[in-house]
Amino acid sequence: MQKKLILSTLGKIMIILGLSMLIPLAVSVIYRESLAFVFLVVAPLTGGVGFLLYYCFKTEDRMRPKDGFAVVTYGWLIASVFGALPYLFSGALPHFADAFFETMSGFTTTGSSVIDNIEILPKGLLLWRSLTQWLGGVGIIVLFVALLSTLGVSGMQIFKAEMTGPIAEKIRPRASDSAKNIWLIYIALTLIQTILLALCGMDWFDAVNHALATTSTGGFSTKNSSLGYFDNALIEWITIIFMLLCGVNFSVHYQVLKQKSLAIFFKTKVTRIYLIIIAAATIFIVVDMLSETTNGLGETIRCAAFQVVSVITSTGFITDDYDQWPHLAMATIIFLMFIGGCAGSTSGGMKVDRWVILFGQARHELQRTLHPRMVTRLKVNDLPISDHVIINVAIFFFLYIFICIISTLFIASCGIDFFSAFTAVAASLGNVGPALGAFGPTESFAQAPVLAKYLFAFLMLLGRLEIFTVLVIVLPQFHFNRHEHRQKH
Amino acid sequence: MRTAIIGAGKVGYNIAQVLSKEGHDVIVIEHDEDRGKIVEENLDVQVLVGNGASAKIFAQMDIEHIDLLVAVTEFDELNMLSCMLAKQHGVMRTVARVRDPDYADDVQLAKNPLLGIDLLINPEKVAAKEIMKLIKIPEALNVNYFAGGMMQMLELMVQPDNKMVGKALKDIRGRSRFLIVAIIRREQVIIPRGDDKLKTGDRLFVMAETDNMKTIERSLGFEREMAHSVMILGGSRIGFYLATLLEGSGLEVKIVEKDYAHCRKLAALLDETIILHGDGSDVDLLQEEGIKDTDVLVALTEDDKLNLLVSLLAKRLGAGKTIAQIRRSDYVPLIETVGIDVAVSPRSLTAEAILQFVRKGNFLSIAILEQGHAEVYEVVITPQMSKLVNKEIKQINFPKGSIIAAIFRQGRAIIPGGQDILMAGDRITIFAAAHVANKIEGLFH
Repeated sequence: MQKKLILSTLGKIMIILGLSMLIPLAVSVIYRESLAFVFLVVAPLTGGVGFLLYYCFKTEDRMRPKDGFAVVTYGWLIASVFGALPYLFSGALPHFADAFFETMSGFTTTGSSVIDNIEILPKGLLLWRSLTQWLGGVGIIVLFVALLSTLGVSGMQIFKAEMTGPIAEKIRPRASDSAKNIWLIYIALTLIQTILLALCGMDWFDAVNHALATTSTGGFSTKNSSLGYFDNALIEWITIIFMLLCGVNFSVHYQVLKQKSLAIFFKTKVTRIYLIIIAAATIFIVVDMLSETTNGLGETIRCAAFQVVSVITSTGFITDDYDQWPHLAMATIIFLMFIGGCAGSTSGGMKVDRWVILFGQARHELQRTLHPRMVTRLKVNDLPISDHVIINVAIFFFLYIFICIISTLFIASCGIDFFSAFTAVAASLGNVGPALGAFGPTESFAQAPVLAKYLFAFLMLLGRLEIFTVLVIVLPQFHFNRHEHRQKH
Repeated sequence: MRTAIIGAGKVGYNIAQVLSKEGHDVIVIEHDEDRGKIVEENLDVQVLVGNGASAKIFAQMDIEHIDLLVAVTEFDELNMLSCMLAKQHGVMRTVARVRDPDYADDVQLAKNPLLGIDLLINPEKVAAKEIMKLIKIPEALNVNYFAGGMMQMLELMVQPDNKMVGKALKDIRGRSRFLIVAIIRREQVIIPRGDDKLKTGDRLFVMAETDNMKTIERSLGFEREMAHSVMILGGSRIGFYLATLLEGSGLEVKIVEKDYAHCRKLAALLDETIILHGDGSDVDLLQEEGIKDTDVLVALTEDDKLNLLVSLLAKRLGAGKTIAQIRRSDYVPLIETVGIDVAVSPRSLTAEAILQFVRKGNFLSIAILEQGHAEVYEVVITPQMSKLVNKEIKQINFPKGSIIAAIFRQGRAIIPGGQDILMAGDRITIFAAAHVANKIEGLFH
C-alpha cells in the first residue's frame, strides 16, 4: 500500500467534497437561513484539509489495485465523517453517531434516517442530505475519476472497486470517458425528473430533492410521510419509472442512447429478468392485497408497483406502509430486498446479475451430476463468464448471507426483536432504507442503540461497496508492504 | 464456358473433372507442382503452377476471357482475394470456398460488392445441413428436396422385417400419389416396373409430396420414428454447425470432444448442447452417456478410421442410426456395406454444391446420388422440344435407366403417371443412372 499516494488522493476527494458543499451553502443563502454559517465553516474546512493532504503528500507514483481498494473504502469513510459535520454543527443531530449514520445512509443511497421530524430542518441541510445520496449514487470516486482524467490506467482500479455488480464494464476505451458518460446519463435523468415533478405540481425545491433521491435510488424525502405526502398518482408513476430506469445498468442506457433503440432493454437478459421479477412481484402483491383492501384495482396496482420498484431498486420511498400488508406481500418485499437492481446501476442489494449467474451455474451443476464429464460455460448476455467470476459471485452470496446472520445476532443482542433486527440488517446491507417492524416505513432509526447505529452504518458501506472492497482492507496482508519491511531489517 | 479453378485439392479436382467432361474449357491453378502433374495426367485440362491471386498467373490464364472462377484452395484469404481480383478483371461469376466461421458466417461479407464473391461456400456448413436433413428423417439414408421443398425424395433401406417384402410394386397402394423412382439392388440402379417385387436389402428412392411422405412411408412398411437424442463425436466445425442447427429443435444434443480447451470454447458458443470432455472411442463414456438410447450418432472427428470404428462400436452398443464423416470418398461405398447407415463427405458435398451453382441452363443436374452412379436433373420444357411437348409420358421414348420423377406446373407439384401429358413451361425432374445421362440430353434438342 502506498500511503503517500492514498493520502494525496483522499485529499483530492475531499477538495471535491468541499466544493460540493458550496451548493447547500448557496441554497441557505438564498433562503436566508442561519445555516449558511455552518456551511461557510465546513466547506473551507473540508476543502482545506483536503488541499493540505494533497499538497503534503503529492507524489508521482502510479496507483495499483490494492491502492484502489484503500482509496475507495477510506474515501467513503472520510466523506461520511466530513459530510456529517453540517448536521453536527447546525445542531440538527447533536450526537456524532446520529450524524455519521445519516451521512453514511446518504452516501450509500440507503435512505434510512434517524431524524423523526424532517420537515423542521432548514432547506440547506435538506438539500445537503439529498445531495449526499446523489453524489453516492453513481459513486463519489467515479465522479472523481470523471473529473480527473490524469489518473490514466489506475482509474479503472477505482472504477472497479466502486461500480456495482460482479463485472465492471468499460463503455468507452478510457476509464475517465466511461465515468464521464455515466455521469452525463445520470445528470440528464436527474434533470428530466426534476422538470417532470415540477410540472406535476411539486414546488421546485421538493422536485430537485426528490429527483436527487430517486435517480440515486437513495430514498431521502423532504417530507415525513415520504412521497405519500403528495398523494398524487402522476408523481408516483413518474417516480416509479425513474426508479426503474436507475435500477438498470447504465451501460445499457448508454447502448440504448447510442443505438437509439428501446428494444435493447428487453434484449439484455439481465434487464429482461429484472423487469420480469418486478412484474411478477407486483402481481403477487396485488393478488394478495385485493382480498383485504377497499381500494380499487388501479390504486392497488400503483401502490404495489411503487413499493416493489422502490424496494428492488433499493430506493426506499414510501407511499404505503408495507408493515401493515398481508403476509405474502410482506414476504415478497423482504425477498426483493435481497435481489436488488442490475449491476452498473445506482441500486443496491445483491444485484440481478448475481442471481442470474448463480441460477445458471446451479443449473449447470445439476446437469453435471447427470453427465459427469460435461464441460459448461456460463453466459450472461451472450458473453461467457469466467470461472473466477462465478466463484467470486458464489463467495459474495455466502458472505452476504453470513454477514446478514451475524449482524442480526448482534442487533438482536441489543434488545431488538428478531424480525425487526433481521429486516433492518437486510435493508441496511441492501441499501434499501426502511425495514419492517420497529424500523418500518413509518418509524426511524432514532431509537436504535448507538452501537447498532454504527453497525448499520458499516453494513451500508459493506453493501454499497459490495463487501470485497471493504473486507480486503481488513486482511493483514493488505497493509503489509514489502518495501517498508525490507527497510526494517 | 472458360473456367479457372484455383486449388486442385479434392474439391477442385472433382469440379474440374465434371466441367471438363461436359465440354467446358478448364484451367487449373495449383501451387504444388506434383499435384499439378497428377491433374494434368488424369484430366483434359490446362494446368498452371503458381499462386492463384498473382498477376503473373492472371496473365497466363488470360483472365479477361475467363467466365467463371472457382477458388477452392486451403486458404480462405487467398480464395477471397482471387475472387476479388478476378471480379475486377471482369470475370462474370466467382465462387470462393471459405471455412473460417468468422468470415463464412458473416452475411454482410458474402454480399459485400467490393469482395465480388457470387457464391461463398462453407463445406462444413453444407455438410452440417446435409446431416441435419438425415437426422430429421432418421429412417432415410438420403434426403433430397425439390421445388423449393414441396417434393421430397427419400432413400430407404428395406429391412428383413418389412411386411412389404415380396410384394409387387403395383400391389402397394398409398393414400396419395408416390413414385418409386429407382431401386438399388446389389449396387445396380434399377428403374422399377409395376411387377417388380421388393426384396430385403433393396434401397428404394421414393418421391412424394413432402407433406404426404410420412403416410407413404407407412404404406411401404416403414415407420418414421422421430429422433430425440443425438450424439456428435468430435467438436470440429461440422459438429459445431450441426449442434447450432439442432439447438432449438427440441432434441437432446451431446458433443463429445477430446480437447478440453476446445470443449470450453464450444460451451461458450452453444447454449443447450451438452459438451462432454472425453474420447469418442471410450466405451465407458459412451455407455455412461446412454449410447443405447441415442437415436442418432454422428461421428465427425478428423480421422476417417476413428469415425468408422466408433460408428460400428456405437451400432453394436445399440445406437439407432449412425452417420460418419468420411473424407476419402473411395471408402464411402465400402462403409455403407459394413453397417454404418450414412457416410458424409464434406468435400464431395462442396463439389456438388458448387457444380449446382455453376451449371445453369435448361438442363441442369441438381443432385448426384450413389457417388455418381445416379443423378437427378431438372429440365424446363420449351415449346421447341417436339419429342416431349403435349405427349403422354408413356408415349415418350425415355432411355432405359431413366424416369420422370416429378412435374412442377404452375406452382403445383405432380407425381407423374403414364397418362400425364407434358406441357410447355413444365419443370420436370428426371432421375437417371449415370450411363444414360448423354442419351437423355438428346431428348431435349
